[in-house]
Order: sequence, then C-alpha cells, then structure tokens
Amino acid sequence: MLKSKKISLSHNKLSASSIFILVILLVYTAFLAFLIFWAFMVAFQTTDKQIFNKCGGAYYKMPPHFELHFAEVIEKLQLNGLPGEAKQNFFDILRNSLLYSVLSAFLKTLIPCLTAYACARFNFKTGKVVYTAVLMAMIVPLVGSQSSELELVSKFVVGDYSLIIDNVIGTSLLKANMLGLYFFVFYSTFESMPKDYFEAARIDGAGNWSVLFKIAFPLVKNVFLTVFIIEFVQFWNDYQTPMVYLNHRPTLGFALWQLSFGTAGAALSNPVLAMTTVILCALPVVILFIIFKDKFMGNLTMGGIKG
Amino acid sequence: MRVRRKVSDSKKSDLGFQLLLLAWPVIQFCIFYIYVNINTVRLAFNFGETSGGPFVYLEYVSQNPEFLKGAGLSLLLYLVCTAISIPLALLFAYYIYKKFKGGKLFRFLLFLPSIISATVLIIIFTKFTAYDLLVFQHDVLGVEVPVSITSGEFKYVWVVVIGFYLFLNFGTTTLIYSNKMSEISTEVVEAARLDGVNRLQEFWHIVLPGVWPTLSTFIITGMATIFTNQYFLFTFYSSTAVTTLGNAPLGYIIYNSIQDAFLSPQSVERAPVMYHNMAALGILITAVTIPLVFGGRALLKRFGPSEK
Repeated sequence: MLKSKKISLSHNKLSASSIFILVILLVYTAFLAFLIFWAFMVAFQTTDKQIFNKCGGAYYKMPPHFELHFAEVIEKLQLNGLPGEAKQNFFDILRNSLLYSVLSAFLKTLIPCLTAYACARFNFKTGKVVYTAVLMAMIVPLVGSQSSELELVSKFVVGDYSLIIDNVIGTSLLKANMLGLYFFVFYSTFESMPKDYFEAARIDGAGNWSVLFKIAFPLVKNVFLTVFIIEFVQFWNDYQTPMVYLNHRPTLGFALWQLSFGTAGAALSNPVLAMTTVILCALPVVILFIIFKDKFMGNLTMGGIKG
Repeated sequence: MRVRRKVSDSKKSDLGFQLLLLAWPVIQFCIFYIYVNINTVRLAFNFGETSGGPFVYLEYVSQNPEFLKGAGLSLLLYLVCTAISIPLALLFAYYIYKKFKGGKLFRFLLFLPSIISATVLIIIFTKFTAYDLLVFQHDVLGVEVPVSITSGEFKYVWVVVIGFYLFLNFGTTTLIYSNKMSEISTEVVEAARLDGVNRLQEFWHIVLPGVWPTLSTFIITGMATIFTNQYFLFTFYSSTAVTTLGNAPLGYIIYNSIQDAFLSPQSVERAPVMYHNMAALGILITAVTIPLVFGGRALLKRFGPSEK
C-alpha cells in the first residue's frame, strides 16, 4: 500500500497550472532567501562601507574584505534597566530572554497538559466544567481586556517590589494559563490512551502521582516536547509582551524592536551592526529549528473543533 | 461494605487529586480571565465612577472618526488578505501534497518565516529598502529622488504592507493545509483518477472537502481577529503608523494606545481615561465580532462542502 502511494504521488507531472504555482513559489522563496542572504552579506562587511555610497549605502557591492562584528554588538547592545539601576547589557538581556522564553514556554505547556490530564483521566463534573470553560474562552472572542489586565497587574506590588511588571518570573506566571489550542491537543492525546494502563497500575497499588509521572508523562512526552518548542519560539520572538510588561528587563525580541525605534537603535544604527544583531538574535531559534524540524513541521495539523 | 468504602475512598482521593491539578489553572482563569473581563465591562460602562454616565466612553469611541475609519480599514484588510491568501495557500499546499518538483524544499522554506521572528524579517526588509533599494532606484532605474517603498510618500505603500503581511503569514497556513491534505485516503484519489477525473475535479471534489474542516477553522479564527489584527504595523512603524499611512486598523490603534498610555511618562494622568476608552472599544468590537463569528460558523457549516 505504501509503495503504491509513493508511486502514485511521486510520478505527478507538471501541468501548465502547476508550472504557474511553481513560478509563484519560486518568487516567494527567492524573496525570502534574498532577504536572509542580504542580511548576511551586510553583517560581515566593514562598518565604514557607507563612505563609498551616494544615497546612504550600497551593500550589494562587495567590499574587498569581510569582518565579524559580534563582539562590537555585544559591547554596544545596552538597554534601560529600572530607574537608578545600571543599563542592561547583552548578557543581562540574554539571561532575561532565556528565563522568559524557557519558563513561559514550560509553564504554557505544562499547565494545559496537566489540566487536560485532569479533565480526560477522571470522570467528574469538575473536568467537564473546565473543558467547557476552555472551549468557550477559545470560541468567544472577548476583546479589549488588555487595559483591564494592565490596571490589575499594576496593583500586584509588595512595597516597592512589583510582582509582575518588570518581573520575568511574574510575567511568565501571568502567561501560565490553561487556555489555547494545545489544551485540546493534550486532551485528545490523553483520551486516546488505553484506560487499561492506568487501571492496571492502580490495581498494582500505584497512587495518582505515580500514574501521572510513570505512565501518563512518558506516553505524552513527544507531544509535550513539540508544544514546548513551538511555545519557546513564540516567546523568544515576542516583543510586544516584554515591551509592556518587561520594559526594564528587556528580552532579545524587545531589543530587536528597539533596534528600529528605541535606544538600541542609536548605538547600532549602522546597517552592518543592525544586521549582525539580527543574526545574533535569530540564530538560537534557527538552530533549534534545524535540530527539531521534523517535530515543528510534522505535527502541524489542525482540525475543526466539534461542538 | 468494606469494598464500597474502599471504592468511595479511592473516588475521594481521585477527586482530591483532580482538584489539586486544576487548582492553579482555575485560580489563574478566575483572576486573569473572568475578573479581567468583568473589570473590562466595569471600565467600559464606567461603573463605580462618580463623573459621567454609564455610556460616556461607549459614546465617545463609537463616534470617534479615527476608530470608525480604523474599523473600516480592518474589515477591508481582512477581506483583501483572505481573498488573496486562501486560494494561494490552498494551491501551494496542493503543489506540496502532490509532491511536485521541489515540494520538500518549498515545505522547509515556507515554514522559515514562522521560525524567524517577524521583527527580524521586517528589520532586514526596512533596512534593505532604506539603503540598497534607494541606491538601486537611483543608480540603475535612474530615479532622481528615490523614495523608500515603506514610507508614506510611496503611492503603493499599502500594497507593500499587505504583501509583506501575506509573505510572513501564509507559509504556516500552507503547511497545515498540505499536512491535512496528506490525510486524504490515497485509494479515493487513485480511484477517482482511474475514473478519469482531472486535476481540477480532483482538487474541487476530493481535496477541498478533505481540507474543509481546517479551512473553515482558519476562516472562523480569522473572523474572530478581524478587529484585533495589527498587520505588523507596530513592527514596521512603531507609534507613527497613523501619521505615516493616514489610517491604521483597529488592532494597531488599540495596542498602540494601551502601550502608550501605560509606558509614557504622563501615563499617571492619561492611563485611566485611555483604559476606559479601550475597554469600551473592546466591548463594541466584541459585540460586533461574536455574531459575526457564530453567523460565519453557521454559514460555513450550512454551505461548505461535505467530506462524505
């Protein structure tokens, strides 16, 4: 059967319409490849390049030699910290980024996973109520709550210490909710698991915690890892949440935006340094993508939610 | 008796365990979803305030010409982007699903914009247009005074903005469609081909119904974000999109107003009023979006192709 599928699908000849699609796809990918190529080409040029140009800089003309500017970017990338504090340097920003992305992604994966387990594994009304709440929150689009949320989180203060604003752990906890599509992904995974596994373990005397850690988690670990990686990339790239909630604890995503509009832009306004910063910030997720590309692309399906 | 008691103890222990697992998500949901949304209603209707009536902010936002223009633009952008992106994404997905030339490579490249952040690609694009594209216009095309294609002076700047939004967005959609298409039974496709069905008929009668649940989910979720989508304008222009482009979608206006009210040095005076306004705007948008989404969902269910 597999062989026949391979044969039938791999011997598709190009018709006029598929050639048309191929041309559009080629234009699309050529544009993407060109942008990435341009960024690399500029990043490794000399910073005094613009003196040769008429209109501000022609980087498509290759220089006689190439240079690396990572050290210069690391030294110059500095953003505001809390009032009275020293500026946040590259390593502070990197630490904020890692903490924010890893913790938020972990919590944003763990909470829906545990909630889905609690709803799918036990046949109590509480589980059904929670399931309905997640479903309703997903399909009823409530808008305009950010101002209300900001008003609320501004009050989470103990003395001079803010529990959420400019607090990476607090902001990650704010994001640690059960809502979203991945709750349903975990729910259907747990629901499709044979109930016999859990019952046999209970008969053998295993408690609820043992069943969760020794049976449920090992069976769901692939889905968990996939969701975690996808969430990590989203948090790593996100700049709008850090801009509002972590303005004085900047992440690399926020630093990138600052490159165009904020204080980082002044020090790194030279296109060569700007492109070096761009590469430095994008590199971790690109490496992650290359390592886990099958997990990223293979598990990417979405169906309609019935109900 | 003892067995019944044991079962009851076990049930109690299961319920306790379930409640323990649900404690954090439910408390979080109650505070940051239920309370926050109730507070949005309070802000929008000015409850608990002595000055102004309950409709003062709702009246203000519903009559504000900037918001009305923004709502119109949001709707227009949604229609244009949907009309372009859905057919293109389906065609690309079909190309990859049929494993035509270079399908695997395109699959990889189409996914890249979802991995590399939009900010990265927009910074590269804006730097390119601000430097090399200007030189290219001047040196190669002979334009005396070159204009950046992302500036408000460029006649087709909205085409650039929409084009870049589509460029960044439909890669992932294409992949999701192609993954869904690969779930279509090969036997059905082969049988249809043996019956003399051509590619267009195969696409229309087999592939489209197969991918319909995913497609309709995208259309519905797209409808839900009609008035909240920012189209990357904040990444492109920061807070200057309205002055640069003359108008901006509501999603951008809301985010820009809130972040400005919260972060600007004058926020102590400005934030409360802005919070009321944005909550009122949010309530109005919700009132428009909910029937739109449920109506759209019913229509898609009623008139969409059947998988049977």
